[in-house]
Amino acid sequence: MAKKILLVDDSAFMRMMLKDILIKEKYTVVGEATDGKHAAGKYIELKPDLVTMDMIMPEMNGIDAVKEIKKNDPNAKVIMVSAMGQQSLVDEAIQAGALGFIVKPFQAQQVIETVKNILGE
Amino acid sequence: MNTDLSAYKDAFLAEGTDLLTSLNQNLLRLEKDQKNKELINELFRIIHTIKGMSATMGFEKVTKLSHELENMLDKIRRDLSLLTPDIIELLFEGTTRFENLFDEIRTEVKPDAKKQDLQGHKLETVRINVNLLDKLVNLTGELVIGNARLKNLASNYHNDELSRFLDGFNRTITDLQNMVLSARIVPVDNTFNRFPKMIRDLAREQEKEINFILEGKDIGLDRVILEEINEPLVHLLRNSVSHGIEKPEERIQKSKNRVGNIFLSAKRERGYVVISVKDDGKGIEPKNIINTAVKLKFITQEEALKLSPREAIMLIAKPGFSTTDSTTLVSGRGVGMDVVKTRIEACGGTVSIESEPGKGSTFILRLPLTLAIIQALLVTVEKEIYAIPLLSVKETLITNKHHISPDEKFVNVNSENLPLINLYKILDLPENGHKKSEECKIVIIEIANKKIGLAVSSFLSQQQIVIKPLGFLGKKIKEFAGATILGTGKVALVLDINALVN
Repeated sequence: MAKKILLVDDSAFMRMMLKDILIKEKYTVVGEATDGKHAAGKYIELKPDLVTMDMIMPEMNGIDAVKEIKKNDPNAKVIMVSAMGQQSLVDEAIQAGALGFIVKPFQAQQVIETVKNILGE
Repeated sequence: MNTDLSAYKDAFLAEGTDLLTSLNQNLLRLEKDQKNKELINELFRIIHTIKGMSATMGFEKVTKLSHELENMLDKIRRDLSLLTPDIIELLFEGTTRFENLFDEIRTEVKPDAKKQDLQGHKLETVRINVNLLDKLVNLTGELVIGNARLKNLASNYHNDELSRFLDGFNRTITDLQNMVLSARIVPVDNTFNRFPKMIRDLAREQEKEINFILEGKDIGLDRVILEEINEPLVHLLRNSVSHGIEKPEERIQKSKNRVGNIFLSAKRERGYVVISVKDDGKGIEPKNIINTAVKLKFITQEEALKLSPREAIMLIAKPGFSTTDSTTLVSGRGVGMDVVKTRIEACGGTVSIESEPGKGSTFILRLPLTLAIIQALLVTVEKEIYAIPLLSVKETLITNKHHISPDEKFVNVNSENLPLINLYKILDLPENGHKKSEECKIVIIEIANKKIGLAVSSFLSQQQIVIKPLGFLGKKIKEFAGATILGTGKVALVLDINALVN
């Protein structure tokens, strides 16, 4: 069965781009969230196999959202997708439990590789 | 994502434009509330989002600008004392630069398509009959409507393949629409380039010394609109020379530079083009206008007291306001102003006037980019859907019933009493439950220096609509500027704000 992915980004444009890349690879995008708070709720509701998470968002930022998701499901697989590439933030995200990090602007290939890698495909 | 980024351009521009709007709004808030850290965070977030998007699209200038602004905001959010009025000004300038860059992106043609055709020959420009062009615009409009209907129908089927196909189809139609429309758009310079000579001749004739400055000549406007505004612009410029700019001796007496300035400028502001005629001449004294208006029995003494200076100035656009003997009183500004206003409003535009006695006046024309397709706010009034041209919408708000006067003729917004129009009354709709609700939804519109509230039942959405003329029926119903077909296939009438307000 196609793996289910939840997209979290406050930009509709970024979500559309990621969605197109993932759908082409036969992944199912089960849901989208525009801020960290909704992301945590949607994770419980949709139980996706993987989450792509933006960093800077209103309400709750990406790192806090990862922590929230991990609290509910320690095995949750989250990839950060952010234009913030500073080492300190990458470290913080990894510490919060993110398994991968994609820096915007991204190449389709890079997204697919990271996703496959984390899903163990 | 090197495959075909152009398909994402519209999505980028649509979201980018929304982001710029909220950037502007938040900057305005910040200006008044400089200690608000939340606002800085919000600005940072918006600019960060723009950066991520533009970097993905490979728009280097936008990315660089957002990167710089992001750094600046990052420093400010660490140390609020860095925020000065100069910095806020700089941030506003940044927004304008974003707008200009977006315009560049919007009008950019793919370089390979521009230079060569398939055989490698250089493509020459072709002349095309304007009627044919108009038909193309109309047909594209039909396609846009058809596509919206299709999308709506498809949503009943929950078919992934179908919706993916429609997403792509949608992008193609949007591209087509933009291209067809851009073919109708010509630079304002086509009209503007006649004015320097006209001003020079007029100045010489009236023994005035005038420095005429043109700005934004490359800004594009629908060919039809540009033709329509030529005459109003001639009126405004003539007025500025004759009644705005003083003679050199008089200017020196007032310790002004003996040479007066007239600026004619065009600029893009979101989806609109703003053309302004500005002079540093006499300006308009609201008191004189009011006196003349009372004398001419346009308004009563009582009404005069209620007018704000801005509203008073607009009186000069009333038909027949100017008389020869009032010339000295009101600097003769009434000459043809009613004609200017009528013509601009006929193109779906608005006119406003700003003036400071002794310092000069500015006449501001806001025009839609094209006539056929406009941005509109969809609202419901009772059970019917209506479209309000976004050009005249200032804001929407939900207010409590106690902010509305008992006779329902005024609404209090930020301690300002605005005239309120109850659409269901004007449109003669049966009211059900309208009054019982504690909450009132109001659309604030601003037109000709005047703000008015429209009470509606609900706000639906903001979207592009294709206006269809109402034909002979429409001539009888003056409240409507036309009709549009929505995605659901339903017809919504487009409110004619000018007619409603008057």
